[in-house]
Amino acid sequence: MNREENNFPTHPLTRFITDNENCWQLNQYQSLGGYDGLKQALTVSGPAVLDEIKESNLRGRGGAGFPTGLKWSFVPQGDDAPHPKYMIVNADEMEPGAFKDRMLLEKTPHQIIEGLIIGGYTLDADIGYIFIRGDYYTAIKHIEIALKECYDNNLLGKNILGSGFNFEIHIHTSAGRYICGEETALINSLEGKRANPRAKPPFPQVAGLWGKPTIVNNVETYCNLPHIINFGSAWFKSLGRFKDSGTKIFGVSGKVKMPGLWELPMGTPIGEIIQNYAGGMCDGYKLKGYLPGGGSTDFLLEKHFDTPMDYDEIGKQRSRMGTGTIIILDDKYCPVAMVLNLVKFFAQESCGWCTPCRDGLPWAAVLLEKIEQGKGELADIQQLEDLCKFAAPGNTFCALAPGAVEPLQSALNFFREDFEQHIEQQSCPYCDIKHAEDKYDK
Amino acid sequence: MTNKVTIYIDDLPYQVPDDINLLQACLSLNIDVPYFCWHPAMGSVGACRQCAVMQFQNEEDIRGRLVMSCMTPVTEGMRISFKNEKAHTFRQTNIEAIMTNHPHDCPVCEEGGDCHLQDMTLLSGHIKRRYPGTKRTHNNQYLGPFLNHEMNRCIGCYRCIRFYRDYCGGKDLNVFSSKNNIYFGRAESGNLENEFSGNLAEVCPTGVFTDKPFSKHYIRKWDLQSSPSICTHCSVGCNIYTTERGGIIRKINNRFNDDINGHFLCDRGRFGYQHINHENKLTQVWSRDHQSQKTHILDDNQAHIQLTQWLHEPDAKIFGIGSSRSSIENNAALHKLVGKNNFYAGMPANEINQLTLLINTYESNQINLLSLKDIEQADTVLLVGEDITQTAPRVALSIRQMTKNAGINKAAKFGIKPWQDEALRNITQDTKSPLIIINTHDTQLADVAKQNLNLTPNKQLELLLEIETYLSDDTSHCSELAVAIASDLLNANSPAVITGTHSFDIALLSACLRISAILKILKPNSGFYCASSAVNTLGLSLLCEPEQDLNHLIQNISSNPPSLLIIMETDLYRYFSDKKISNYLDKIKHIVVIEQIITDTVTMADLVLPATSFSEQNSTWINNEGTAQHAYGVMPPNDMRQTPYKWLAQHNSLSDDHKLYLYVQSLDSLLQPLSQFESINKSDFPIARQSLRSSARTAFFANIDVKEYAPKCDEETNLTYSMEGVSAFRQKTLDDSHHKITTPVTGVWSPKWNSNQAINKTPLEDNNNSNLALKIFNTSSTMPFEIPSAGIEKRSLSTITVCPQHHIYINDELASYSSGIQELAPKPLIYINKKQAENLSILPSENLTVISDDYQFTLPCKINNTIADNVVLVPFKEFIRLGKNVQVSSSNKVGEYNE
Repeated sequence: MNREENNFPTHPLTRFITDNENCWQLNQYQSLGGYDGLKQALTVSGPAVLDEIKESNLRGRGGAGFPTGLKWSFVPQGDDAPHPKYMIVNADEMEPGAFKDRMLLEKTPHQIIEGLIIGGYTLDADIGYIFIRGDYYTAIKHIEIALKECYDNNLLGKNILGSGFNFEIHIHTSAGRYICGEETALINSLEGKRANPRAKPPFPQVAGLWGKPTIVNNVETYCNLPHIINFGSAWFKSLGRFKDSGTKIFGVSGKVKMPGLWELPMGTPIGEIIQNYAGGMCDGYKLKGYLPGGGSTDFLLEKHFDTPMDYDEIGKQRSRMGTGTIIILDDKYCPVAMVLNLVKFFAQESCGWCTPCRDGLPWAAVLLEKIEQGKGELADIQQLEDLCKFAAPGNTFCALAPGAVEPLQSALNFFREDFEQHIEQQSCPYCDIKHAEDKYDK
Repeated sequence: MTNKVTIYIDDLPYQVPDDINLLQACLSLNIDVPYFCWHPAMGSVGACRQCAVMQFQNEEDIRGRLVMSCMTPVTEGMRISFKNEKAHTFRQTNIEAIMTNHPHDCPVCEEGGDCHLQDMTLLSGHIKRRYPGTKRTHNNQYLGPFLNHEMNRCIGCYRCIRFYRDYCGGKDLNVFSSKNNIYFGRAESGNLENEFSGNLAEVCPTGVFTDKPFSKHYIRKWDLQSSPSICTHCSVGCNIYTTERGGIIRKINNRFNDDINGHFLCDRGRFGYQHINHENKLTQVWSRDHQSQKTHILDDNQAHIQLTQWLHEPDAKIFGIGSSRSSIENNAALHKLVGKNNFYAGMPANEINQLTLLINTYESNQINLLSLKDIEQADTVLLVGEDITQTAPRVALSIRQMTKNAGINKAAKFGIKPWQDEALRNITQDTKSPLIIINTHDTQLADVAKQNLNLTPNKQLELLLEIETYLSDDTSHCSELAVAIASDLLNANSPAVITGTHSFDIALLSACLRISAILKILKPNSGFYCASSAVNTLGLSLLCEPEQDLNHLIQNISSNPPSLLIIMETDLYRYFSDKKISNYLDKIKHIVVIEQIITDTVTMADLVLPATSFSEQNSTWINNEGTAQHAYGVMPPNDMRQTPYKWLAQHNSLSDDHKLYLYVQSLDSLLQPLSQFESINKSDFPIARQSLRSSARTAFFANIDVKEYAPKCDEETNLTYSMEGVSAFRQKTLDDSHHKITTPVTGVWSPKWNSNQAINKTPLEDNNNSNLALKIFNTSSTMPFEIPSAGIEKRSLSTITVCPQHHIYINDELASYSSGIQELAPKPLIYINKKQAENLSILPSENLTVISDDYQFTLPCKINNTIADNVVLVPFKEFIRLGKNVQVSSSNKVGEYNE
């Protein structure tokens, strides 16, 4: 794919988001180069497209960062492959602190659809599903209209753009349970079953939805596909500032001057995102720590600011890039309360299938509540550490519980004095300060 | 044939079969890996995480990785550690977490002493509860007369719904809510609908589901006396343990038999024992004075004097009626007493004719007889003219498992083994092995059948004849349907034809046998199974001559009246109208009835000899596939009760067991091997029916006295009514032990494993009670026999056919005395489809009258639209009393019961 490098975009994902309130519609999308990627893909074979995606080193944007090309290569191809094959967009964004997919879903539905069709074409799939969280009603409305626009313009259905390729997309709104973000639980939910995860093997690529080959990828991952095909894997790799390729939607929430979302190159240092783009901490607040990738990642501190937002580099610092949406913990907010809030969320969202998650997380929540209420004992801290080990990866049926204890285990590591102070004082020191301040303000 | 691989557990090498998972391998090697959600019949899902062990890449790897042994296949050279400290800590924490909400109410929980959770808690080493929070509680539901529901004890292993929904196809039990609030129950309180719900009491590892009738006369497991027996409530012959205390039968437990019932029983068999404890059971000898018509009690001597007197009257003519629900020994004793020409089967002519046809075919070796295990491994089943879920329920469960085989084969291509249950079901989805049902209406197997062909018996026969024609010659012109079914059978590797005698249609049976005979030539692995009516129907039929049935007996009353009629364990009023039987019995001078419980026939007797139930005698029973199984009594007979063959021993000169078994062998060459059952009672080791208590003292007679009474003596067998002997609930020792003892096992208990899960502690192939069972149809001998072809021309061409409708809780005579079974038995109704109702100009719940020679009845009708046109389904108990010339009338006059 030899193309002129002159007007290649630096911000491929967000360039479709303009001031025009109809920017999400087909004519606006196409006027800015939308569906050029699809048209390009249809001129070559599916396997050729797959090679380009592998070459680009695109990694999944849902949190795990698995190489997309490698994941897709396990899908059986050729005339003997089972049909129908399914491509699924995981739009069930429920990770605490993550809101990046929402922007793409509401404002660039066609980008996702184009990526999905390209994916279908690559793997000779027949049916696509957009599994979207029921609460995202604006996005759902936009997607429904976008799908109709596609069908009306021969971008979906039979013989897409005269290529002979048939593909249909259905939208499925979920009832809003976090576990449905787990790909095999999502598949069970689509089948109408209870949203428990499945054991692997068999992997969904081989036997997934209705026992057929299935790919589940995140919204943002699909969004990158049209551009990789349109502008080439070399361009994609050149966008990254460290080892990983392409751009990413990063986000920051918490007591910063400008919380929000930015499309930045992969490998942008964490400190740059927080200080340059989010404007640093609000006046009167200092940074205590942050979860770099959403509610199920380990805490990092200011000393890690130089770490590039690169999957492996964050991993070396004993955390995860996850969704890339950073949650800020300021110095006035109780870390115990923050971790308690997160653990309670994950305990509530447990599907109830396996013991460490179903029974271990509520146990941790009870202990944290005890400490926060000023009734804690030192043995409770040891018990919490044991529970973190209990819910370690490999011990559970899926990754919910190991993720749930990541903030907890890192908080016990970095903010241990806060926990100990709660116990020695038999009260929450942050609440005491707040009460004192409130009294003062009156 | 499976291969063996070498695996290393804590650095020691072991050889294990390669088709099992690591958990099973460890258990069979006596390594106590704890588990909850795995079950030998239901496979692995990896939910509870209790079975964790540490796996190492190689000898250098010291860190290892925790794996769930139930989800891990055994591979050559794999290295795992059970003793590893991290794994041990994990298992401890896991069970502690599992029990954060458990009420720890062992002292008041029925499961205590028989509880898998107790066993696993001790095995995993968890002793201290650290969870400081409050426990979640649930409301319990009323689930019917068979099961208690106590949801607070639930540990979330999911076994109950996996069994109920996935294994049995039940729909009304499910899991609700999520996280640590999961709830296993029905959408609302109500009777559990599935016929195998009682197994939940054994499948549930805690006390959530427990045996409700047992609760009404509860006693701890260690205070029970237990012995191996056979269920006598249908013809399948499932193996059970009967448990007793204080002269009352307390509970029936499953006894594992790989070929027949496996791990599960049906609810009729599990809960149908209450006739033994019933207030109407006969415990005394009754005699009726003809003059005064008063009854009085006789003692043993007086009874025998009376009997002798009648036997030796001048011109005495003595007939005996044998019983299909009594043992071979009992029937043989009666046979000897009255002689073969005077021995009548307690069965109608229609039934005995069918049995004779079956036995002749079996002896001719033209078909393969299937066990239930064979049925589960078949790959296509043709089920004809039998609602087998109602008549031989355990077979229906095996047929349901058969339908999963296509999926298992499909999953094998993905490298998924049959025990990887969850993965299996995700790949299988709707793939099923073909089950084709030809019947009058939809049965409970309809949901897994490829085809439910609901036809009149005439049309059923037509279809079968077409299938037979096509199988013999595939160029012949047959209907598409017949060709499709025949093709399914021909495409299979091991097709099975399954039917029964309950449609009372010998032509259908013939047709099925002929199809099976052709299939055996084309497919050596094909087979046949026919369900008959009672536990010893096949056995009784071997003792009978042609025309020695109830119809002929009653017909010949004028030409050939007996002076003394000895009726053994048969209620004649079940088979004919009251008037007909009373007329018949009135003409007989002396009527002796040997029976367990008061029946209508008993009330007509001149002398009643109380018989033992199956729980108080040693007995041999022959099931549908010709397996003779021996059962042991669990308690000495109550009061004056005696085993029927003992009542008769004084009079037929079969004064001891040896003479009795010699006589049994003389009755039919097929019964030769039965002498084996005589000798097993003479082995060297006494075997205890009670569990060992270290103090050697028991509470068995605590309700009577403080001191320990001398235990009663069991004269006939080497089982004791005490704890003296080979440990009651002993499992066999390891293969390489020098002291392997082969004994009948009287219960399930193993060191550290008090619950019924102890069954998993030994390799299953060792668990054959082969000394208690043997096949009588020997494939090496062959008696030539031509299976008659069923002519369609000779059949009646009436527009309406009256057919019998069976029900699991109605069909069995003795099980119907249990209160739970009575509660669930449906009201007698006549069922027709909507079109038939219109033809008869009748509205639902209006009355229909069925008229025949000798008998008629009137019942309200109900619509069931799966019933074939021109078929009227009537309750089996009414159907069997109908004579010839059956007609249906919808006159809205209230008809009369012919009583």
